[in-house]
Amino acid sequence: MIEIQSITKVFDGPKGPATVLKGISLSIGRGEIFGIIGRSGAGKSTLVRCINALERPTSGRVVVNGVTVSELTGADLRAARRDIGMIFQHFNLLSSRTVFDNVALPLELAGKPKAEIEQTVLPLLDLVGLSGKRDQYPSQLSGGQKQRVGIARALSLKPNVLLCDEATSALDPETTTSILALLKDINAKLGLTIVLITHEMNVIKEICDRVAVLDHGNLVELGSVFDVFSDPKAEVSQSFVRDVLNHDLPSEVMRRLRPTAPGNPVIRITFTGPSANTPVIAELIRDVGVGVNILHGHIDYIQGQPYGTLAAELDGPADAIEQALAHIRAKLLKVEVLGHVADDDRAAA
Amino acid sequence: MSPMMIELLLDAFIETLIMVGVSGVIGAGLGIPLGVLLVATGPKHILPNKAVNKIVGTVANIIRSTPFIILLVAIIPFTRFVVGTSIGTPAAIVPLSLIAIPFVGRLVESSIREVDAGLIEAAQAMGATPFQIVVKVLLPEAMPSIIAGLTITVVSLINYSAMAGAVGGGGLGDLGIRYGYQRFQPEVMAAVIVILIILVQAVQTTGDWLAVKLNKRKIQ
Repeated sequence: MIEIQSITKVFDGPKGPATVLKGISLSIGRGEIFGIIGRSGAGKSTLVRCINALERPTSGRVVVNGVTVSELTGADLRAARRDIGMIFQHFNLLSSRTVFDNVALPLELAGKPKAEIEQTVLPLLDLVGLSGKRDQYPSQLSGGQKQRVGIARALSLKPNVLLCDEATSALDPETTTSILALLKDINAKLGLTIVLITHEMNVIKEICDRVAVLDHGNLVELGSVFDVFSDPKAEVSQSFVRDVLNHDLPSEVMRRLRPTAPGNPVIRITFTGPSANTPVIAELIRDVGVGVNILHGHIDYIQGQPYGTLAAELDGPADAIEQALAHIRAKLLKVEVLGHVADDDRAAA
Repeated sequence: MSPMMIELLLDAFIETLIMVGVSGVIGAGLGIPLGVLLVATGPKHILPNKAVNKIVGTVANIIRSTPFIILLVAIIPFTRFVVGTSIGTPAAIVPLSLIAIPFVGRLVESSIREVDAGLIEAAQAMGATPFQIVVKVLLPEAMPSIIAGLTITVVSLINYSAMAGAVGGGGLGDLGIRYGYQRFQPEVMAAVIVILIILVQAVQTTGDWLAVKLNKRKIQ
């Protein structure tokens, strides 16, 4: 659907040329919700603008729906852009137009007759839940409502791609959730390919199928949202995941950890995929006969799959502990020994 | 005040309205496109063109920097070429229009610059042509500010039209100078000032009302 082929982008800055994109290649499938995440200045905004040629790559190509948009100009480019809808962080609605007229604008620009405009706009207002607001001006709407107008406007020419440029970054968390639900709904109903850029991992976690992580103009990680969340490879990805998934040990526990024995080991078990529902703790106590003192735990659902971690102290003789670790590994769960808690520390704590 | 004086005042009032009205319409008609051109040909805008931008900007500055009383007489050959005469109300309309065009142009330029660049980007993403961006986005969004600019222009033209007497253009200002000052009739001067005050008030109030009415940015 969208092929981004080794694109680079160099801007002439006040301090000489600045390379914003350093050879990025991506392939986004039809009907996919694809997320691009990065800190500010990572180049994600430039990347998404290359898809509808608001920016031109310095080198490389962007192919959308078989059309090389990065090489189009004039009427061909405008025609290609009509197949790509876009919504923005600050909505970019015309203050002088009503809700209806804002949604009608792309149709007017495309020279559609009045009757057809009406026939297209009204169902769209219905779809985004703004039927009652058709004659209001943007200044009379809340942020979430404005973004709904933006979404309706972006859909008015029946595009097959929707680009979302930080579409929820100016909204409060509750409104963000409702806008994301709307996007997911549209994706399912219309089979629209959605590309969204954000600096919020929550947004990715909530609706994306796959995610690309950008850092300083480089594509540092690409994969299914579940894989990136459960096993982030790049440093930025790890820090993004930490922002949303609170799987770190509480500092209180960290402080008491010693790197080596003596003392009981503190382990972290990671539950992912099919084995996530194994009653492993019960088995450790019942079958292996070690004591399990649970310190910290958390379960998230990403893309509908459970992903959790559990930190626990194992109490028992050395061979029983070895056996316990083997038992966990046999269940295909990831387990690591974080450290040891000495007895005197426990007494003190 | 004699009936003759009242008739003179009425005639002068109508001359002022004609001079300001015609030059205002011409000024807006050519000044608005000029303002659009000044913005659109600027760097990184919808029709970047360094040469056009530079030339048009310089010409506008030259006209704007010439004092009106000098412009009035300096362009007499041009005036004669356009309206066939160098004296009377029509002859005053030419220089008034000429000064109004860059005046409006610069005001419209700054009005359009205030339109959020995000709107241009959104329109481009919809596949709008540069002309559509101007007509459907920039001008409607800048309209309240443009109306305010046109109000300032009309008030300035009323002011400039007082100098039209230099080419026999007539009007209230001319009447005030000839009768009020040169013939020592202070009541004529006073009458001219009162009429001008009322005229400017009326223009300003109408302009303000229209600008507020068109501004949908604030919840009313």
